[in-house]
Amino acid sequence: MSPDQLYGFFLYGISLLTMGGIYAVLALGLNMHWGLTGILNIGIAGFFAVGAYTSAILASAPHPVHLGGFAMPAIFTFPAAMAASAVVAYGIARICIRLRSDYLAIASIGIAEILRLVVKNARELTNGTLGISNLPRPFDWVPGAGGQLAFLALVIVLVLGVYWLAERARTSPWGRTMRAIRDNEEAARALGKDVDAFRTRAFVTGAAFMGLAGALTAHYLKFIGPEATDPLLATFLVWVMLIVGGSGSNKGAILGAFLMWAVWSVSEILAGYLPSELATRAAFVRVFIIGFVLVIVLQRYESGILGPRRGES
Amino acid sequence: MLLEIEDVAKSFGGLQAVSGCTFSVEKGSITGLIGPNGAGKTTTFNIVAGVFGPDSGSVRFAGRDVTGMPSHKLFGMGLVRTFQIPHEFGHLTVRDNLMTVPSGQPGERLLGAWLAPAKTRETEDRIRAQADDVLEFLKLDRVAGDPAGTLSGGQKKLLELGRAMMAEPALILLDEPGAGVNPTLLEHLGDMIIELNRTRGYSICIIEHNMDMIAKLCDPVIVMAQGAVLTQGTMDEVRKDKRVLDAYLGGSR
Amino acid sequence: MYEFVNFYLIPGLVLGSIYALGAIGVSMLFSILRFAHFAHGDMMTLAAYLALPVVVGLGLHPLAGAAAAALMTSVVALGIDKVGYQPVRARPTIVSAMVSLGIALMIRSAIQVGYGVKTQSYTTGQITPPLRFDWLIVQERHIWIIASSMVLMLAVHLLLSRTRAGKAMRAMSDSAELAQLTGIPTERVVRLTWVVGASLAAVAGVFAAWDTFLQTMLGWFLLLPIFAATILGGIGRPYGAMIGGLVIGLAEELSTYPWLGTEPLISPGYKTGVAFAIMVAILIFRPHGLFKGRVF
Repeated sequence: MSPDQLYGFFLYGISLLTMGGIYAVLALGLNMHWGLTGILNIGIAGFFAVGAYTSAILASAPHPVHLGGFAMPAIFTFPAAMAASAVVAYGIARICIRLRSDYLAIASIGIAEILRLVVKNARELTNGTLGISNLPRPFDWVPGAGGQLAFLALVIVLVLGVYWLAERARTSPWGRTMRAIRDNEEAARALGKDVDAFRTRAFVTGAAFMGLAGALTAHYLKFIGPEATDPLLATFLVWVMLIVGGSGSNKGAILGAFLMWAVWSVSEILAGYLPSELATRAAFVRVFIIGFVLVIVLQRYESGILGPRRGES
Repeated sequence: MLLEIEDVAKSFGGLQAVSGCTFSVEKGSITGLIGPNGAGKTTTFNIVAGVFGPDSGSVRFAGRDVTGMPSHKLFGMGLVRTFQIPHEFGHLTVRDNLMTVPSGQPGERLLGAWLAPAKTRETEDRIRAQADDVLEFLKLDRVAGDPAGTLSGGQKKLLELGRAMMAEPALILLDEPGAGVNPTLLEHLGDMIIELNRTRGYSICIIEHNMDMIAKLCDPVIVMAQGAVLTQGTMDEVRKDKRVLDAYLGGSR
Repeated sequence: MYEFVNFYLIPGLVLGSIYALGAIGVSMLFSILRFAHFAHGDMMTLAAYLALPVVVGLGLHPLAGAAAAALMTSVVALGIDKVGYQPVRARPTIVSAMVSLGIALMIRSAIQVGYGVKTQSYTTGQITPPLRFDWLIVQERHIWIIASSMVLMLAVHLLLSRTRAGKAMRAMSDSAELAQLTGIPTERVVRLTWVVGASLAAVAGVFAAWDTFLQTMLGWFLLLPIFAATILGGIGRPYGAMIGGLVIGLAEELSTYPWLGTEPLISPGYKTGVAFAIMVAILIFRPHGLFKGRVF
């Protein structure tokens, strides 16, 4: 193997870990919603988009079409992305949190699609289908592969931070009450718990994590467009990650994210070696496999790799 | 009067569950609520506890109008209820079931859980000690670490009572604490309820079908039939009332 | 006036009929199996493609294609129920809803592998001139779509109100346990529900493709308005779903009519958002749907 090839593998490894880390943040957010609270959120892409575009607009250079020119650094735009997603989630929670889970799922999918409509149509805000480009990536000034390594380090630090927050929340008295609510909502209400308020907090927190992941993606790719908010990549893949890793477990969410992203990414490369006619079909086969894995794990391996077994809390 | 129910009515899709029910619970009393099945006792409890509001009428608790107030706010005012069928948090341990109860725990707020670990730990220690006291009182200390879902039916009944105790309430509404409990445990349960009333000063309102238990604990006894109060008085007075017997016979027909 | 009827009202009724057919199935599946069926849209896409060889290959009328697709889609739906949903029937129904998401992905990608993503059409090139009645201009296929949808809705009504099977379905939607205790063969009712729901979805899918064109995301785009229609009608209520579908279809088309001045009231880019806006309003103000009363 030539040094160039080795270097290529090295860079690919960095990108694999970076995207895996970003997905880990998404999966941790989803675990807040589903694993802890039982909210069936099929609109992850919506919160992801809010975070990504908020950060992109705040960080971008002036542009003739879309809003921008604030050129703010990531240290401001990332928290702003989280806050924007949290605010949107709070508004949704005010309407939807008291609904039974199926309604909430339908509402979440609808809200995400609406946000995607806005992304596509509100050119003065998002530049429509052309997207927002030339976004600054933190540490890009470091020469060679250093910039990418430093960004990976940032992602890992953020994954650990989000993990700490999620795990702390899960094991705290707050998490205990959340589990009590899942076990028996009526009793929790009778014991003075404001169930809707607890759920709302979990929903808002999870959405903030998703917003952060959106911002990270936008700045990592230096570009955000409507394709990045496609439900397949931004919603369903995350679901498969959490279910495979083990919903209810924060470690499982992280493991599932890295594992499934590796499978997804490597299979894309392998498909690239196929003749072009087969390659396009292989892309759809990969989607089929995502659906298949979701169904099989739900049917046969309820707790995923690291999730709590039946009867455990 | 601690609790005053005034002309309360509630119907479910054409079925009149409670109609013009009026009674009150005196502070410091153990008030019994009896009557044939379908008399509207549990519905009345649900209205008082804020599970749903009445169609008409009013509920006053501790001098305030609480009609239609949600459960969690009533709980904050010192009113707590137990369930006829135990509503334990099955995946939580017995001790965690109790520790969940106190409201306003600093660690129950997300920011508190993240930013104030010392304060959280301090409160946890205090609540754990309180929970262990309750478990000892109920003789559930041996199963403190077991998931509540694995308890026997009788133990779950005790746990219901224990969660109510954790709230240190002004009024406990007990919905058939004796149902499905073996005679020995029932005796024990009755003694504990009396002790809670005497030594801790909890006012208690009980729905119960076991007349021996009612006779042992309650004064006064309120008899409900067909959604309204039929009569009330001491157990002896109520027993002699012919209408009560008729109501029971009518109810079982 | 003629513009309003020809370009807004009639397309609205066509779209509404398609939504209504889909929403009836979603609503019935919800009331019998108690989960939101997220694969309904992709089942419609599948049906539209299954009709392709009948309509284009054999050169038959799209209505014949719809009938054939209904048959094939029913078989597919029964197969999916057996391998997909039956194994998780005893678990919380939300698991079934999630399984349906996975199945939606599988159906769609299977179509993409099989047929590719190029758009296709039932009508091969030739443009059929619309029928004219004085100022009223209407496409022949629009008459077919609206009329056959009406017939199918009437059929659903008769099934539910006049047949033993329909009564069994109503009993099961009231209480599955009670139905089982009274000796209703619940698994058979489930299968019947799949057949009815899949057939209606198949017809709706073929109609949607007939009215526009075939593409693999066809059903996914229909899914959201169909859910909106279902919720509008009160989830679990087929009659409500019929009206909900028509209301949503009309609302989407009429929202782009220049009610005020000369500009469309709502930019066509946001047309699908109308369905969602109605859905949110219903969820806030009437979470049990527009029509109160019995579930069926």
